[in-house]
Amino acid sequence: MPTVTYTPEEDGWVRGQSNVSHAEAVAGNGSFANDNRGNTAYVSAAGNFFCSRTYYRFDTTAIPTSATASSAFVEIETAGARGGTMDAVEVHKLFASSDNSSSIGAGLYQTITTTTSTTGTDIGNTFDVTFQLVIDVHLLAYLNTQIAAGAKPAFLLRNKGDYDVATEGNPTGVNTRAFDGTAAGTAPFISITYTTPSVSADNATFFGANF
Amino acid sequence: MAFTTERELFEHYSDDTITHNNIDDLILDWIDTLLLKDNDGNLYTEETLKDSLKAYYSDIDDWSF
Repeated sequence: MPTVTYTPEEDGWVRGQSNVSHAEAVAGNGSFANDNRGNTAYVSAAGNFFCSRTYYRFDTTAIPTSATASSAFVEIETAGARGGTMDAVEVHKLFASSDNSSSIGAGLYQTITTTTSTTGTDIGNTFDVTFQLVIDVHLLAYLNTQIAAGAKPAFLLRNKGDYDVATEGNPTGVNTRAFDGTAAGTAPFISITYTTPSVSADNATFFGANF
Repeated sequence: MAFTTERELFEHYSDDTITHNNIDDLILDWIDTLLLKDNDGNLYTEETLKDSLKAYYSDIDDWSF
């Protein structure tokens, strides 16, 4: 089974904010973007709540459309940590983005879909450490749909204070995690192991009989 | 989380990517890397973020900045 890796065709962090609640920041539209770097934020500062997500898009179209990914992950390296050590800012999941063509901009913030990995990853509070964000179950099915269509997969990385704001509620203070992007440090990448349909036994016999 | 000294607060918020042990460096890091903006799209100022810290961490009485 071949395994291939790709660095992002597009990456950067996008952010929404609200002066009412973190839930409103999560649900609202984006207002800011920063290209080629990774960040997730669970922040309350000076009367505003800030939520950041990191967008990754990979050009996987060199993979045959007949292929099926059996496993995949996105590897990231942490670049900084600020504030709390609670799940809200440390546990992360990848979600499928509904936009796989736009350049980094605030509009990508609210392109999250309900398609996500089952497995979350706790990235802790140290930096210069690599983590593998597992693409499994429903998100693996999404990846396979994109491969079959010859389309590029796109993801948004979210912390638990974002995707589970109903449980985590409003943050206190500045809590963020930063990740290397394609502009600096160790670039993130996606790793995909896939299979392709094998030549059937009937065809092998046919060719064998004729040659 | 209760802090009673500025140093404790600094250590909570920083890793060794910030090399000086004072809140000013931390504030500048937030301004430079997080690029927090107000509702009009203007970057938060150093003073705004300092005032925000003071409001959160009222147990600290030795603010040196």
